Amino acid sequence: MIEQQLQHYAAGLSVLYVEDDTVGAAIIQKLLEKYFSSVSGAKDGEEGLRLFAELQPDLVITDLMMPKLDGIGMLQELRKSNQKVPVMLMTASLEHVHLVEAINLGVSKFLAKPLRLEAVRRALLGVVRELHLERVAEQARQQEVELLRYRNRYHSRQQELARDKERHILRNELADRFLPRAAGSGGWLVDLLHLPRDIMSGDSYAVIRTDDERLLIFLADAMGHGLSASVTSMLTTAFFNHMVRGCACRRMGFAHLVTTTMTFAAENVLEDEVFSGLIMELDPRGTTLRFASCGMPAVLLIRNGEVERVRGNNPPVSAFSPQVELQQLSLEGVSDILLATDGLGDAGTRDGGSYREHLVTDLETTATAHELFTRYERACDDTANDDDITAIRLTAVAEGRGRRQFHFSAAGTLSGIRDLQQQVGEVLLSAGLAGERFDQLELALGEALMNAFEHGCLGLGQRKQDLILADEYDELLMAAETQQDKLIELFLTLLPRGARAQVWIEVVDPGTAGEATARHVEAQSAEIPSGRGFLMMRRSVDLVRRNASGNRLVLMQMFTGALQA
Amino acid sequence: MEITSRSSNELVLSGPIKTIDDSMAVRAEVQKLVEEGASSLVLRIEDSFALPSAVIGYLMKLVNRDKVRLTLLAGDHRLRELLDELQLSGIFNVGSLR
Repeated sequence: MIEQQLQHYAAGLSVLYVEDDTVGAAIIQKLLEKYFSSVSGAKDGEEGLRLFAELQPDLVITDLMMPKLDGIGMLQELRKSNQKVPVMLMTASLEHVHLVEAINLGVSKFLAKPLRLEAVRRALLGVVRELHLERVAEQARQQEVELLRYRNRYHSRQQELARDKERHILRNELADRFLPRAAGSGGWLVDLLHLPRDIMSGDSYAVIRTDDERLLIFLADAMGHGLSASVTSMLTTAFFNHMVRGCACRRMGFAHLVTTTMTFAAENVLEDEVFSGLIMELDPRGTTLRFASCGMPAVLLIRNGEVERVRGNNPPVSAFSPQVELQQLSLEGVSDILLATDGLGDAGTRDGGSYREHLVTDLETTATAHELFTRYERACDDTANDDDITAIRLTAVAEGRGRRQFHFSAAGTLSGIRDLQQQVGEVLLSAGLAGERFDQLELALGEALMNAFEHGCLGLGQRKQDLILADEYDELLMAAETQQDKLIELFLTLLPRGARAQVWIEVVDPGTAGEATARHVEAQSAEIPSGRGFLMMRRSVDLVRRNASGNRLVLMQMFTGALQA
Repeated sequence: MEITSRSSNELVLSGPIKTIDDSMAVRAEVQKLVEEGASSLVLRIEDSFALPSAVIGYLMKLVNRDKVRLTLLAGDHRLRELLDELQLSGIFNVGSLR
């Protein structure tokens, strides 16, 4: 049965024999044709080499003694290009030196001359068996490679789906907005830095602006085993989002939100896992904030120019967690608040310490999360840090010790906004602020004022491009010169920040919420007309934020060098 | 910012183009050339890092509606990058001054 299978397999193989004796060649030809579908013959080693290169047979049978090039010589040449093809050597006598050479050249079988048919048949079947096994092994290897490729594709796809889900759950609703105070200027903004090391990391966050303009923040760092920790983190963040959005948080109350979220986390950690989390509520109209911290690093805040460290009252959440205690903080004189997972403070510095030792100074002397990260990178080799980092920096607009404030207002006309820009420029120059950062701020201010004029005062919305194309845009701007009933307000604040100067500008126009989408569309293509002004502002200054209605816009720019008196 | 005219269809803009006044001035100078019959324009922006959106919108109207052939040569790479990000490199025929 096996022999039949091998014969069947051999029928698909090609064979080359090399024999100078014509009678012997005829016998071999006849014998081989019984087993192989393709049989070729050569008269000597040279012709054998030529045919081998041309036909690439599966098997070679050669005589030893031949004119021009003998069997060993042919084999030596053949092995230079092909190490694998099985070779059978026919010989009447074999000297020791030839035997060793033949073995070294990988001869599979030796056939004694004169040939005996049964011996040749057995030898052929032996070689065919080896070829068959080799081919079966090769096919198995190919299948394994294919399976691995499939698995890789499968896992890559799974990772992409997981990343999409992660992005769906993690949210920062204040990425380009700020929460204004009820009256006057100012408010709070969020500047966020998230550096996960893997798709589905243990760090997670949600920054949510509630319908009644409060800020709710959830920051999570699950400590456990790989994906298991991440699943806890994602589930709890999703639960928090649902509680805030889906369960009318205003009625529920902050304490209930904290208790239910942390209880949910406790129910979902394994017995050997812990979950660190922080939930904070900040009402920009209020004078205090509330938070609950479970095993998170201390909250850092800058109050009247000094950094305070506020430790959380609760241990990390575990399957056996006690009740969670809330904390309250006065916002009096607070300009910055930093919430961060332990990946930031625990990061090793290049000089062998931890970044925690630098954090207070770097928080004091920087103004944005990006600046803070630049300092972190200066002190630490981030590629050596295998922990996720999430830092949420809350900044009070135009707050800080030693500030100088200016308030301007002008009619919502082209000449009015030009006057405003000129007045701001004069104040900045008199404070010694100049150079490229000044030029960039002027560009951003021009965009902000044009936005306030076009959308807040003229209500152009998405008609602007149509008016430009119809050559009616300039006429409309000029016609508005006589309309003095709408005012644009501008609040300018100069602050010393360490050895540097910080400038805040808030532009307030009389626009309504209905125009918010028209004026700040995130569109930057050649086909879509709006959104370029916002892009220009983002490229030019350190921070740009707007309120939900779109009629208040905040710009912040840092300057090297101190403010002049 | 300063604007100087090199020929009937070429303007040189020096210094940063940043204020509302700058925007208005650029638009007025370009419009003057178009009204005098220029069907192609060369703007040599020597050292501005950006262009106000009001100028960009106006130039887009010139190219798309009025069919003016514009060549914008920018000395500062940041301006070229901005126009590239806005997918305007082709429409404005953006090139380098240096």
